[in-house]
Amino acid sequence: MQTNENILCCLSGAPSNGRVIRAAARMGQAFGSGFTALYVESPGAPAASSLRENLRLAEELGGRIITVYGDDPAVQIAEYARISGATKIVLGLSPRENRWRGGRSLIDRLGVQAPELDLYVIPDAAADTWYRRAPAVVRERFTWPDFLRTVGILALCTLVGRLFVACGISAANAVMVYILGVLAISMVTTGRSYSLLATAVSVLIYNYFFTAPYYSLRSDPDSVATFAVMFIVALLGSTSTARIKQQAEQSARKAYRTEILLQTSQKLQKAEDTGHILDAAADQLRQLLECDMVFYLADGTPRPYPVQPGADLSALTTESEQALARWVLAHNHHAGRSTAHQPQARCLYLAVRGSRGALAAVGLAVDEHRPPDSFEKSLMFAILDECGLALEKDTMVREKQQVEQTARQEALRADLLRSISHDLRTPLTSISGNAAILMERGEALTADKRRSLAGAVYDDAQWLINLVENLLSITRIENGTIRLNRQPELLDDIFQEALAHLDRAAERHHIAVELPDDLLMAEMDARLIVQVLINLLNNAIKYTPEGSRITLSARAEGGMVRVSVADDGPGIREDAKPKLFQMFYTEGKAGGDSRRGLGLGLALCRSIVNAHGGAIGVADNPPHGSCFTFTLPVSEVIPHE
Amino acid sequence: MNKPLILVVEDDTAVANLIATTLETQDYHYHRATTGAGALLDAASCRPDVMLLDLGLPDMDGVDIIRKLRGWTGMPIIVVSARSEDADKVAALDAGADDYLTKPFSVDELLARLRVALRRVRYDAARSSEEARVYENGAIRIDYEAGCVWRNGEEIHLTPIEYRLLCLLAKNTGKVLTHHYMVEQVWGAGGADTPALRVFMATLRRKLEPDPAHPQYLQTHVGIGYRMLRQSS
Repeated sequence: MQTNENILCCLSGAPSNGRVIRAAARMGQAFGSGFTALYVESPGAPAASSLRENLRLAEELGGRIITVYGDDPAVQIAEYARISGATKIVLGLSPRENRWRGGRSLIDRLGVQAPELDLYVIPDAAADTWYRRAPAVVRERFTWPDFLRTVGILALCTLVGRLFVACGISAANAVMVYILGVLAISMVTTGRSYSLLATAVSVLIYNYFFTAPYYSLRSDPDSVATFAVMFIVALLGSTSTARIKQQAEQSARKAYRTEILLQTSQKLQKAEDTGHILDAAADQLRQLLECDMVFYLADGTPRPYPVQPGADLSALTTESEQALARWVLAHNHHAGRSTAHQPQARCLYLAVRGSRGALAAVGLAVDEHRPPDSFEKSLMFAILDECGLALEKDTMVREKQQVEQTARQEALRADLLRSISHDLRTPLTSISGNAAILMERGEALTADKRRSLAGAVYDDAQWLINLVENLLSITRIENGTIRLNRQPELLDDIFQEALAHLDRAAERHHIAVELPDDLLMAEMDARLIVQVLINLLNNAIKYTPEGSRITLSARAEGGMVRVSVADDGPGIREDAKPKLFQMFYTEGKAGGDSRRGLGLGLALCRSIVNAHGGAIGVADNPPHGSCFTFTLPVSEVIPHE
Repeated sequence: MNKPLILVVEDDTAVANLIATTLETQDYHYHRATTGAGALLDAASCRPDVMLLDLGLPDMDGVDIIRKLRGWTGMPIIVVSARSEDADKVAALDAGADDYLTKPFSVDELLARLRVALRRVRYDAARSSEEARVYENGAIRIDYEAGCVWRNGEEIHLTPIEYRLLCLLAKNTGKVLTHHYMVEQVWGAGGADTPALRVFMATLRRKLEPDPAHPQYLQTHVGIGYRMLRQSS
C-alpha cells in the first residue's frame, strides 16, 4: 500500500540510535513508504564509530541517507522536512538532549520550528547507565608555528607591561595588555589549547613580574583577587573569540556550500539532456573533490570524467569495477572504497537516486589517505541528489514527449487509414478493371478505345504515384523524423522542376511564369518545395475549368520570398478558406464515389512551409479566382569569381 | 554502330519485364541479370554498351557494384532505384554512375535517358581516334586551345568561372555531375559553395541557351546537380 506518508528518521552518533532507526524502518514498512535517515552534522562534533554503524544500519534497512550540515539540528531537521515533504519525524530522546541549549530540548525546539510535523520520540532508557557523552574536545595537534606565536605574543605583552612600569604607568594596566594578548592568541592559533595555556601562563607571568614581591611567584592576598579576575576575563574572552572564529568559519563553509549547490542547480537546469546533466554534475564534483570519476547510466556503460582532460581512466573501468557499479545501480546502495561492501575497490561508488531507485551511479577515485570529510560528503550527496532530480525530470519530459508523439502518430495513422481505405479503392478499381478489359478483349476493341482505356490506367496510376509521394512526405513531417536539407536554391530551377511534373490535364490550361529577377534565391529543401508547388498547381488545374489561366510568380519582399499560384477560376467560398489547410478536408460534395483527393495536399503544403519558417495562405484573385501564396526566407549569395 | 546491347540488372520480375518490353519496341538488344554478382560477370563477358542498374539488389549494394565496375570500364551506368532520397542519388552519381531514374518512372523517361547514354557512347567511340581540341554539340562550339565559345558561329563571352563550368560539363556530356563534384573541380576544395554554383549556372545558361526557360543543353537536376545534353547536329 502506498500512502502519502513520508517518514524522516534522525540519525545520531548515540549507540541507542539503532532503536530509532529500527522504529522508523518499521513505520516505513507499515506505511509502505520507506524512510529517509537524516544526519545533521554539526561543527566540531567527532564522527563516532557508532555513527558509522548507525548509518550502515539505516542503509541496510532500506533507508535513504541524507547528511545535512548545520549548527542547530532543530533548524536543519525542520528545514529538510519541509523541503522533502516529510510528514512524520522519528527521533531519539536521551537525558543529554533534554538539556540542549538553555534547557530547551531538541524536541521542544523542533515543535517550535515545525509545528505541522508529527514527532515520534523513542525514549533512550539505557542511555544513563551505559552511554556517557564522550568529551567533545577535538583532538588538537601540536604545531610549532602556533606554539611560537603564543610564546611571541606573551613575550611582547611582558615587554609592553615592563615599558608601562618603566614609564611610571600603573602595573594594573599590564593586566589589560595580557588579556589583549590572550584574545590575540585565540585569534591567530587553531584550537583552544593555546589560548587556555596562554591564559594560565599570563597569570603566572603577571604574578612573577608585576606584583610585589617582584620576580617571585609568591604574592599577597590582594593580588590573588586580581589574578582570579584576570584569569576569568581572559578565559571568557578567548572562549568567545574562539566561538566567533568558529562561527565565521562555519558561515564561510555555509556560503561555499550554498554557492556550490546553487551553481549545481543552475548548471543542471541548463542541461538539456542526460549527457549534459552528467557533465554538469561531474564538473561540480570534480571542483569539490578534485578526483577522477566515472559515471554509469542505468544501462551500465561507463562515462569517464578525468581531472586532467584526456587522461586515460581505463584502470577505473575494469570488469570488476564495472560490476560493482552495476551492483550499486541494481541495489541502490553505496559501495566500494571506504564502505563495507568491497572496500578494496579503486573507487567509491555512490548511487544517484531518483524516487524510483538508482538512476545512475558514480565511481569516485577518492584518495585512500584522505577520504572526503563530512562537509565534502554532505555536499557530494547534495550534488548527487540534485543530479538525480534533474535526471528524473529529464526522463519524465522525454517520456511525456514520447507519449504525446505516439498519440499524435496514432491519430494520424487512424485518419490516414480511414481515408486511404476509401480513396485508394476508386483508382485501383479503375486500373485493374481497365487492364482486365485490355487483356481479355483487347482485339475486339477499336484502337481509339484501347488507347483511351490505357490512358485511364495511366492517369490513375499517376494519381496514385502523386498520392504516395504526399503520403510519404506527410508521415515523415508529422513524425518529426524529417530533416530539412535546406540550401539556397534558384526559384527559376524550382519552377521548371515543378512544371515538368504536372498532371496531363495541365496541357489544357494556360500556365504562365512571372519571375522578375531570375537569380532570385530562397532557403529551402528543394524536393519538398517542388512538391508544394506541384500540389498547388495541380489543385489549380483540378478546380478550374479548361482554358483557365494559372500564374506562377515569385518576388522578394522584406527578408522573404513570396511565391504565389493564382488562377482565374471560380474561386473559393469564404467559409471554406480557413478549413482548406486542415488534413482530410476536401472541397466539393462529400460522400459518393466521385473522385476526390485525400485532403492531404494542402495540409502537407502547410506543414512543409511552416517547417521552413514561412507561412501559407489563400486570398481571392480579383475579379474571380483564388491565389495561394507562401513565403520562404530569402537567400543572398555573393558569387566570387 | 550495330544495335546497342543493354545490360538490365533488376531483381523484380515485373519491372524487368517492363524494361525488356520497352527495349524490344526500340529494337535494342538486352541481357538480364538479377544479382550483383551476375551483373559484374555479365558486364565483363557481354561488354554491354549501357547498364541499367537497380540499386536494391539482394546480394550487393548497388553503389559498391558501380565502384567495382568503374575500376575497369567507363560504360554508361544508369541507376534505377526506388530510393528517392537525394542523398542516395548523389552517392550513386559520385561513385561513378552517369544518370539515375527514380521508380516509378515512365517508359518515355527511360528511353530518353537511354538515348542520352547511347549518344555519349557513340560520341566517345568517334572521338577516341582524334584527341579533341574542339568540342561541338548542336550549335555550340568550344575551342579548348583558344578558350573561345561560339553559338551558331557567334562568339559568346563568358567569365573565367563560367568557361570552366562549361568545359567541365562539356567534357562529361551526358553525365549528371553532382553539385559537390562541380564545386570541387572548378573552385577546388573549400573554394565556394553550391549557391554560388547555382548563380553561375544560371548566368551561363542565359548566355548559352537560345531559350533559357526551356534549356536544350544545360539540364538542371534539382537537389542533385547539372548535366550537359548532347544535341543531334
